[in-house]
Amino acid sequence: MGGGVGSDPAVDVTYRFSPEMLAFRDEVRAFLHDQRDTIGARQFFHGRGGRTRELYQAMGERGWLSLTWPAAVGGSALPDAYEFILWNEMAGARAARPDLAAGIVAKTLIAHGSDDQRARFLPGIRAGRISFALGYSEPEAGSDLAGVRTRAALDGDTYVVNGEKRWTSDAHNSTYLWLLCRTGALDEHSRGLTLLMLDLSAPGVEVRPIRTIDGHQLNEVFMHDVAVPAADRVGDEGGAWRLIREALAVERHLQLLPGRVQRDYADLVEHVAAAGRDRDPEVTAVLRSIAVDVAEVEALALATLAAMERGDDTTVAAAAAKLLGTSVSQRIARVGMEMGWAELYEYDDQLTFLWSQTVMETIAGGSSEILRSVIARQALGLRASG
Amino acid sequence: MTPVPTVVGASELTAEQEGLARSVAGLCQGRSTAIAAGAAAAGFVDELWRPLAELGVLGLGTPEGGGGAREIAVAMSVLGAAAFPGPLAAAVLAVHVLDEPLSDQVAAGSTMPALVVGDLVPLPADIFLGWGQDGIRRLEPDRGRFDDGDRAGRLRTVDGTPAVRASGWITTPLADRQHPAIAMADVAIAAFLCGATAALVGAAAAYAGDRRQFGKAIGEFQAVAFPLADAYVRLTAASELTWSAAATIDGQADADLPASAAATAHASARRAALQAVHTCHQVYGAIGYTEEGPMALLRRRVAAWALLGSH
Repeated sequence: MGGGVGSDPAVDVTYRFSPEMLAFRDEVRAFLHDQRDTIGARQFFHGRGGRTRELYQAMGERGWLSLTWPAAVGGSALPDAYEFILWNEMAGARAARPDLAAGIVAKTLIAHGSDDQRARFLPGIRAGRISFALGYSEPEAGSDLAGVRTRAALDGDTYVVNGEKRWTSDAHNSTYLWLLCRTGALDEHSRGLTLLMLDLSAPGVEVRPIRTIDGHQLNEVFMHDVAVPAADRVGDEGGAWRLIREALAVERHLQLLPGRVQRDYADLVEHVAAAGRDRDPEVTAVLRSIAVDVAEVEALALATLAAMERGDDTTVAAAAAKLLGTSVSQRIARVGMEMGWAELYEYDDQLTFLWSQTVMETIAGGSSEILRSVIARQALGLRASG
Repeated sequence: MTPVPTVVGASELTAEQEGLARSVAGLCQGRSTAIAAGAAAAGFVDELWRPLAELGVLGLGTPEGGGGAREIAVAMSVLGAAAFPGPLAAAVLAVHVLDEPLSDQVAAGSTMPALVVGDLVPLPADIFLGWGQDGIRRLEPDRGRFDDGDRAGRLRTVDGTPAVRASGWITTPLADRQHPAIAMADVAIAAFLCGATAALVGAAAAYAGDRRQFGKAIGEFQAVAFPLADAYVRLTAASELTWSAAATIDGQADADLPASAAATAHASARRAALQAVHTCHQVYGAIGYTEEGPMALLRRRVAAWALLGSH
């Protein structure tokens, strides 16, 4: 590369984005600049409560939580690129991850919900008032969601829910749980699964924190005879599998936000310079090699977005982007240890935090092993099951 | 399953670019013996180099030749997948950095350009370029003509192409048009490497799907499939970077960015190709270690192209 360390070698996004999209990006950047004093240094990693919820509400006032929703439900009906730009800037500023309610939940309700559900939920979601946590994983169902055991039994017009969800991000910050539960038999696997919207303040719900190695929290959610109105079931009984797969597909362009990885890299370069190590040729060589990684991540994310806009299947593209992006984040967090830059790894330092935090990235939301299996199967025709 | 795409920009090609890819692939088809024989073989110029020039591939991206960086990327990726021999990168550099009539002669296939690797000049060659940290240089043998006493001898570049040594030659820095030429050559090299890598990974994946051990296809073992998936990811990333660098050059949105984007694509493709070679070797096992095996030609071509333009 011609440029020195820290010069931006990456992809020229302007060839992917229209002038209107770039103007929107500037608008988001101006918004973030205005909000800068209230955005915490690690807010992006702190879950979706507190200041992040306030930020969502400020975004909601601007119509930014419903950018791609159809006009009929109060959205702006804009291309997916707008959502990508918004959340990528948020990631780059370490401000917030995408709001699950405005994404997976709202898009599923728009496509498969009842009129009553759309009327009750969408206005609050669009304004950033109603929040959702994803209730998929369980002690016995991690990557293999077909093994979900939490039961919902219909009694009149109410489901009675019993079971346990685990690793539930943001259950302590949310109004509702987007609950994947079993209405059929366990041996029906994915066919016996149903989606419910469970009010986390309902009697019988207990949320317990699980402390994580990076100082944050996941949760266990215990549900004991929790009553959920049948009117809060999304789609048909036993029809959840198709819905959650579809919901995954419409969010693939947000699965890996390169802005986060670029920010990790920019911060690393800054730390290295602050430590006075930036003139060492060995250091510059290592950083240059990581800069190529970072450019690759951005290229894969943009390719996913482009495939989505063409209407192509994005499964492989998104898997590739997430697989590489998360491993590059780990490389960035680890490189200073490999190089012995002790002064950058005090207990509360950012790199120490990232060294722990990035562990989760290759596990949650599709582990790297699952993603490699997807690529092997769908891009290379290899059924690598074990 | 769709096979691993060998053409850079495959999902965004115009009809003309698809036509170009087909023409170049058509030229390679039926010429595998000449391709395997390489640039040193007697028929190289007549059977491979001139037809390529007649197709307009060597002049792509010049005002006379038409097309741009994206067309170069398309053509070079197809040539990479075919393990096409000869001084293709040298030609891209030459037509963009040299003045007329030399640039025209290179585009027409009547003058053979060479890009010095290390201090070796691959043959056959009529004009000589060097490309290093300090940019592009023109080289000339001391008394106007190189001593080809070495030719029958043992000097060969990494892929076995006969060569002469350029030590002691007169070098002249080329002042003009360096940056656009280097950006084009970066794209060309990246695209060739992407094409070669796609051919390697695609064939190794197909082999892993066929070859059976322990009662099943070896590709059903994660230990075999996952490294191929990783190779596919890096290849896709390199390919996307190459295409976006080419699009940026063609758009010229920012005067400085194309050079840096193309250099990044080049570095990405080089790394992806070299990693894929070892991954594919591991998939093939002993058969890949043989001279008659499925990788021998492509892996050598990757090595030669990985060493070009070491800036």
